[in-house]
Amino acid sequence: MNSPTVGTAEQLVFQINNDDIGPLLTDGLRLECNSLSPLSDLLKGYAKGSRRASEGAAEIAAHPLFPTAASTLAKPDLRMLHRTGGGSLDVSFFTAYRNSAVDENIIVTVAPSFENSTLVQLFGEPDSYLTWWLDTLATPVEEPVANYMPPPTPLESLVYMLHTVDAFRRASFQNMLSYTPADEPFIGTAEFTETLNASMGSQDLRWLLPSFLYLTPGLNEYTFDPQPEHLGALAEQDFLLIAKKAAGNDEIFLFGEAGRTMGVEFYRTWMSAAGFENVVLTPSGLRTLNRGFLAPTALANHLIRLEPDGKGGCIANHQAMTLEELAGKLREMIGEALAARP
Amino acid sequence: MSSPFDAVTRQALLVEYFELNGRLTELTEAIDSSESGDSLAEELSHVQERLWELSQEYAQGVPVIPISRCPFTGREVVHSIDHFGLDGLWWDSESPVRPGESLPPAFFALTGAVKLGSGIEEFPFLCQPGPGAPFVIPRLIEHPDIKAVVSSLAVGRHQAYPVFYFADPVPYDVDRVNTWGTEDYVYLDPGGHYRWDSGTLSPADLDFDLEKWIRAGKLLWIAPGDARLTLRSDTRRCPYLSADGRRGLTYVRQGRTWAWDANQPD
Repeated sequence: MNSPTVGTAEQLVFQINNDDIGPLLTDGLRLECNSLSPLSDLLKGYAKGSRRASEGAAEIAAHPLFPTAASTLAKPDLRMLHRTGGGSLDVSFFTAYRNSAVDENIIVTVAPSFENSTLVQLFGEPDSYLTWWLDTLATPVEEPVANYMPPPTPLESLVYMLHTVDAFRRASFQNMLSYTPADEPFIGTAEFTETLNASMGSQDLRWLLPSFLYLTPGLNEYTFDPQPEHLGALAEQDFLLIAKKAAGNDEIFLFGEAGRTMGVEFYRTWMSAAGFENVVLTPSGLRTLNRGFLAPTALANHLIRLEPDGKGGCIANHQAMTLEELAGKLREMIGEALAARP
Repeated sequence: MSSPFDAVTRQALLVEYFELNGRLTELTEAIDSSESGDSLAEELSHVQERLWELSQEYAQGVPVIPISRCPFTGREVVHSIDHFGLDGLWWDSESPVRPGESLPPAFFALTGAVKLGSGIEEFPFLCQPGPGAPFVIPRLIEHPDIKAVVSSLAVGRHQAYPVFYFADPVPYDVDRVNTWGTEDYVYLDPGGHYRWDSGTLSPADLDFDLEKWIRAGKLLWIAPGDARLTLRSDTRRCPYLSADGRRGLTYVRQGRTWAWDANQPD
């Protein structure tokens, strides 16, 4: 299925049937693809001239920006991968590309669409891409809030903190199921460990930690080596407090200020998330520029950027941002990505 | 980088420095009023030269220690500070002797407070260590791109509270504030050139209600004695919320202290 093009002089949106990609790009524009191109898989096995473009494809090919979009997608040198979903959304993805030989600032996104088609959007300048990115993924928060996970946070501690946020929701559900609204939420220490292991292996994106683990590209490149001090960060940052149940000697975790505040925030207002990774194609292969995860809520855009720690692991830089702060940081990251040379 | 001095070396240096500084004053006055200025001028030259050597020695020996952390990048911040006492030349508000600092790109300003302990040191210069309790400057911390971090350390018998301001991105249209304990500040302009300026601060510019700024995400804190400089944002256990101390701007000289409080005229 091909949709009519919607475009201006600087922006183009079209939906193209995947079967038309070969005829339009290989036959019509005589383009070849590099290893970073999203079209490589679609064009695999396509023999030149073996298919004719469908009727609707002619309108797309006639748009003056189509050759630019096609050339950008055929041989990009910058790829910005996004995996979206989590909370109440199904998993999806879109990827943005740039070919500096075509234009240093033009960004083209592709995303799988329905009925065997691909949605393509061309942005004539970085700011228009940024505006669309923020409209799609971020929340319009204006007031700043406390950052309960300030940098630097080892990946292992981050995992424990995200699980604590989930644990608060779990404890709140348990209170609801037992009709005990006055009870302070808590989680048994053994239950915390058991549910952590289950969460990490689940890919259940209704929860925050699995969403982070599944949606963030490239996490498996880092070592994960939890040590006691990583768990200790939960007490240090006031996520969890060790206590004993009123009856008996069972040890439990009560939620501290950070655990409760972030627990309520995510329990009530977290709807979706996105992981992203920006890579540039160099003569010696792909070079990762940055990698991260965004979880917007009604109170903040929680941006987690991951940086190698130089010892195989990674350090997280979490910021709880207003829309304006996020826009500034994204503008800086996109600028750095566009300035990176193959 | 040279090694920091110890208390004994520092004390000897300051004793000699203050003696020579006093002699410098005597000689200057004597030369102005005397007809036999040549011999005095020669001694004056020697004294000035020795004072210069001592100040250089002091600047090279002032401890440079990890003291805060950037809330935007997580980078540790090291800064010079004479934590042996307020009688160090670092605390001379009119002519501070401090080494060049190596600060992160997000650094914006440094202010601070000192709660004076018992026994004020004797020194001839004017020391302006700030009020007796940690504070923030609303004009700065309200800016959307600025956050602050409060920490603490002992300075001799006193308790000091450095407050670092960080910005991301750095706004160049915002007037900064005099660096803690001095009467001016230095900054990098957009072209990467160092510039200096100075401002004034009055008690009305200070806000000691730290809790609301912590809850708003504008102020973070580092626990006293935390060598890892872990940034914190919870208020439940923040010791700086209950820090007592004089709320006015404090001045110290020759073992005497006085203050400019909020309810006093300028």
